[in-house]
Amino acid sequence: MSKEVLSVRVSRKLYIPIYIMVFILISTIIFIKITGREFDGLSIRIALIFSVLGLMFTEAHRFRNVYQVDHQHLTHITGVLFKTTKKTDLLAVSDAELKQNPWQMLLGFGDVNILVFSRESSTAVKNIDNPKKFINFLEESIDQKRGSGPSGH
Amino acid sequence: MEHAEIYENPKNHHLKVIVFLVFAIVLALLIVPSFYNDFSFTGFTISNITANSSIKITADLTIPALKVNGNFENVEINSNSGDLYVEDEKFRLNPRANYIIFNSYAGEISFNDANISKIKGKAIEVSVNGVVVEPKTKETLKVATEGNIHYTSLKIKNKVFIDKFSYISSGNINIGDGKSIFSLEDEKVDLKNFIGDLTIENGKIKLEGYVERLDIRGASGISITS
Repeated sequence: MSKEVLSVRVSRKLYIPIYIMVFILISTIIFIKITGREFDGLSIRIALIFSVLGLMFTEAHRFRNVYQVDHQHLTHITGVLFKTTKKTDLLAVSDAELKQNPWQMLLGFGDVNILVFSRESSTAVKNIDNPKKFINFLEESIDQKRGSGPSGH
Repeated sequence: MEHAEIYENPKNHHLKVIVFLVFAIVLALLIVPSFYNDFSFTGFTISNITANSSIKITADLTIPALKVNGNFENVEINSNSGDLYVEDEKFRLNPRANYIIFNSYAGEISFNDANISKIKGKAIEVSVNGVVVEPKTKETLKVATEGNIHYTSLKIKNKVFIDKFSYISSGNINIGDGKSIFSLEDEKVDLKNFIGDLTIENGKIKLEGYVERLDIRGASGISITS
């Protein structure tokens, strides 16, 4: 994160339930091995495949969305191999809403809905760490652009 | 006036439920066979086959190369060479005679007419030449062989299941408590779904139990199905 450009991805805290599942499966396998209990090789393979796929999916999902704020635009880049980039001029941004459920409040992440004056579209920045800091940076950038831009006073 | 609100996509909710269900199933697959020893997928299969294996058979035949896999009440081996591992302890079998017993054995035994090529499984109690080994911290003992064990007799009791075996053999097959007796001389025997006891001694394999189908091809040409 630089002062000029703020770049955020989905927080890993979102995937804590998946990490807990993987932890339970791996712990169970280790416990079965240590205690020398009967085990089914196929079940262990399935559990390992589930764990690896779970971790790969969470990372792929995380890398799928990148949100960047600079002093000109809010940029949303979607996709891993095929990327779609959506740029919103900061002068068009009218408001930013922060939404957090109790789980998100507890762990310090949340959703930010960025509205534009035309109300034709909005950008949902979901499940990011420190959403308040993101909103503050966005507001500072908007203020800076309005102050120094062609339409600024 | 349309704009995208942050909302919970119903598809995401379905995905979460599916992921949790898959996790629960995988966890159950891990836990149930490990913590409830009576539960066995193969056990169910054998039970189903038992219903079809209704031809009572007693056979004394030449020894084939076989692999049996399952839960057996008792396994007795007379051996005169080889190495046996019980947990991490190695028993070097003496070259004269060794008497080995596995009680409540679950696993694999592969053999031919001279050697036991593989033992890999678990037993609740193991006895080697009268020395009893019992599990200390666990419920079962790991049992395995390293290389071949030369044996003079092998008895596997209750319940050996052999889904199919086919070989050229000589000997006698007794069907239905003596109702039919067949004497074989280098004839091909096909047995399907045998369940019962297996004894190998004096160069003969003795099968006592039930089969679903028996075919003898050669001079006799017999086929019996339950």
